[in-house]
Amino acid sequence: MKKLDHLDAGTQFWRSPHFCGSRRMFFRHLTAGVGGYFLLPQLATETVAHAAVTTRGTARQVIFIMMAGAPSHIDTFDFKEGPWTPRAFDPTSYGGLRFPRGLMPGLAEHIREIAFLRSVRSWAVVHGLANQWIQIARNPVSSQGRIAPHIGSVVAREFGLRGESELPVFFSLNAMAGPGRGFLSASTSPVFLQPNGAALSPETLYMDREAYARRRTLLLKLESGRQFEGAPAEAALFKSDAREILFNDRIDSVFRYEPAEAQRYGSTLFGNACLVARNLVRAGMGTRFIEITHPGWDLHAGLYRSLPVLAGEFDKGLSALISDLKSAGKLEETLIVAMGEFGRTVGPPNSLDGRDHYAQQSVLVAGGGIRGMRAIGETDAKGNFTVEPGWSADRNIRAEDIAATIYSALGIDWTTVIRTESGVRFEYVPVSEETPYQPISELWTPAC
Amino acid sequence: MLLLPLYFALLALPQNFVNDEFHTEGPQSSDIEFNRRIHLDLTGRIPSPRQIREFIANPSPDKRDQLIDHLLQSTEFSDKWTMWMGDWLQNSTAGIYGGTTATRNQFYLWIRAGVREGRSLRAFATDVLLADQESATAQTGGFLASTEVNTGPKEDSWDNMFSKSATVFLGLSHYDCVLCHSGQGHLEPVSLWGSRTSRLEAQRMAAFFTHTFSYPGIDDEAAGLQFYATNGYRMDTDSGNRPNRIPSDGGDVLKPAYRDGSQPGGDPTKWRAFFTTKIVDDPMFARNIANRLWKQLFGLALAEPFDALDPARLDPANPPPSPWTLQASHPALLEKLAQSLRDSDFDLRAMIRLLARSAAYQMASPSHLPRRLDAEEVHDAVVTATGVANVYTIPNLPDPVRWAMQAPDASEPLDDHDTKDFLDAFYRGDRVGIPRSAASSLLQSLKLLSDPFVLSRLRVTASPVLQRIAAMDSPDGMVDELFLAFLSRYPSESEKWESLDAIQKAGSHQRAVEDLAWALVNRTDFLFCY
Repeated sequence: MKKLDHLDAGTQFWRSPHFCGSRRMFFRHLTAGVGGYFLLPQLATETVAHAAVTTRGTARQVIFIMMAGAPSHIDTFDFKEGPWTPRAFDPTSYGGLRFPRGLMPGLAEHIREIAFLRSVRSWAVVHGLANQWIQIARNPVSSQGRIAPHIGSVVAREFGLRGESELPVFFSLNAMAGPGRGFLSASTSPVFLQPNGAALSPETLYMDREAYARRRTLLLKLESGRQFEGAPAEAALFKSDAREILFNDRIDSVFRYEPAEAQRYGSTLFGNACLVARNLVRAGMGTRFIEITHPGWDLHAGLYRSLPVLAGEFDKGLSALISDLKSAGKLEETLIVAMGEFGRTVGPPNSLDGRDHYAQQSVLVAGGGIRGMRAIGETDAKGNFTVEPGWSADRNIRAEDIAATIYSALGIDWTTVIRTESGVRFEYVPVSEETPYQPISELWTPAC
Repeated sequence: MLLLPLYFALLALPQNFVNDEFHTEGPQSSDIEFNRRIHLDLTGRIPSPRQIREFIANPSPDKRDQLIDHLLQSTEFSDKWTMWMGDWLQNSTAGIYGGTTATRNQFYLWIRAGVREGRSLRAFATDVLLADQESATAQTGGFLASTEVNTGPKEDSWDNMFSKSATVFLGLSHYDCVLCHSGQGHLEPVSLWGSRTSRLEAQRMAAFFTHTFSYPGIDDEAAGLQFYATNGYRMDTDSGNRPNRIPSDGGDVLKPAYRDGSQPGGDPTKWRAFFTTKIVDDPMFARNIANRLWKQLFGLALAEPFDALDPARLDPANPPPSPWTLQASHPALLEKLAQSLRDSDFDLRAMIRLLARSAAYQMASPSHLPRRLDAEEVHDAVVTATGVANVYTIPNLPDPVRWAMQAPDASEPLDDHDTKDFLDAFYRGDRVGIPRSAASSLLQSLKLLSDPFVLSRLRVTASPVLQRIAAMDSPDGMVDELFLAFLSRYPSESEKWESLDAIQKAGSHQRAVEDLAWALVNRTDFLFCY
């Protein structure tokens, strides 16, 4: 097509496999500003420091349940009875542990596998801020906050290149969006997915396996020799991964499930996600961090009307997950953490029979070799504040400590510091002289 | 309709100042590259094969300027920039107040009418902030009403009204931090201005909204605002969503003051109007809009983060003390763009025209940063290339919606789950808590490979475009037409050869055209404006 040569001049996007000067152009665009570096794609990173710490290393994978909206701690994981407590909650003692068995009967059955962190305090009581805070283990509006990856993306970086596993390292179930890879490479991105029992492959009349194979070959021929930089390179990477996922029976079986099985998990969005999380763990195809978002806990009004439904969904899905992981022998190697972004006000409910935002909160932990049927930390009679931290740091547990715990459980050195190509220092867990964050190792030690 | 405004002529200076300030280097885009880029950036649509051929064949030396002016006057331009304005003004069904479809539709129609008639962005801002008051419109109440919180004192709502206004109109999202605690001891690592700003200053700004209350939209009624006399912005609150307010030397009840120190008169019904005038005259108003428009056309704002501007680090005539640096990558350019906006009375088309005509904008990719198409653009590109449209019904909207870019927000069409899922995979955000994102993902690639939305359109029996191409005699012509329809360009020699080979082996034109169309949708450059 010689007549068209003049049309091609000056475009390197789809024609030339090699770009000169694009990176220089980037930096020219950025030279003067402090801001903006977080938009630079695909920066190489190097590890610049880490302390001599011993990691726990008992978990192969983590399931992180984000109870979005913030559950009332005194009605769930740090149970405090009052005249407001419905009789149906059936408060029951397990050793020294008080738990609303009527509200969460499934988890009550597994109380031996479950520990509660009760000396936990959030840094902020604004949803958006606190929600991000616990997922990136730092203040989202701090200097590192803008570039910070999700804990799951750091895990993805640690477990290496996607090429070594059949499935992405980091899945985020039932969230449309949220914190992602930050400045890390595209391969550490979460895959946002809402499981519905369908395979990832098309189950349509429009393209069968044979047609796909033929078309794929054609596409590869057309795309051969192309190399991109920046955003298009990331897209090309995802495209090549996606091509391997389609019509892959092993992968499809992870996402496909029968209605009867879903029923055991509650047949809810949350239950479906727990079921797929179980499948991901059982398949062992390289997924190491699964976040499940369970929204709706922001009960400023009508709390005692809504809680049985919401806690019921949570209970049914999570207890089925624990049961199945246990019988598959996978619970000991799967750390489960469930928490909201903060707690709720204590004492009698407000005038709308609800509870408002509050910094004191509590966290459920199970699996990954921890010792269950216990609480770490203790609050005052109402659940206002910590009276006994219950762990070696002898202070409130913070989101940063929970991140350190997750990293340690996975055998990741939580003191790692990396530096991006543009010179930004990033600490896996923020280094603070005031509050040296550390894993809650008491979770693994026998109760005294 | 719009006459070509006078200032178009005034701005058509021989030398475009954008080029002087941006120091362009590297090759300029080819006509075919420019053609795709300008169509997508201005209208959100890919060009048709006929449009491409006509543009290439046009011998006029100023054909790029002609095309820019033509697109600026198109309906598609209004659709795309109504979407952009809806993002900017956060028109959404999220939020307890101001979240009904009636509120959203009314605001959407008002924005669309303003974009079509070329309203000043200054007038947009004024009417949004003055909703339901004085002579201003009642159609924009959702903007402030959606910030209402019913779980705390009224001061919490007024703080939110101010914080949203400052973020959207001034690019100063750090006021949200400062409304809880002074910047000192918190914001030093990120904002010089923020570190010097006190909670009291922010609260005095919020106090302009004293006595402003929202009423929720119910069913077909839109949300709005009303004046309701209270005992003022009180500094002794001890509950709600922000730390306790503490009485200062100003006493228990706070009087409003703008950040430049100016104070309104004693009549509280005039306070919001006073605030509105100060906002649109604030130097940050023009800077913020210029910076956002630059980001939209160039991919990276001159000053990032674009919603966390630092007024103490933007004026090149007054640089900040070391070790601070100016926030903008091209500080003088940002100032000139802001001035140009003021000179044109904040005319959207004039600013876009100025930017699009510059050699800086017209550089070849990748010096011009490629951007992934927005969700709506991906949807509309599939529809344009195949000619298979859908008609979506949006509750209570007068016109049917054929293009995703015509949707009133980033959540529709709610009654068509397949289409909605397809759009959501491309990170539309919700305009409030979740920002729109141009990131790529595995799911996006899976959708383009296998989603029924795409596959159902890539059939000769469904697509008039593919049917016409399959009926062509010349395989050579078929390949050219497919590449123009899907990728807005001609094939390279190797692409031509592979495609002809595929046609020969396919056995039927129908199968060949369908296979090739599928492959082109899944090419990386289908997904990019470059």
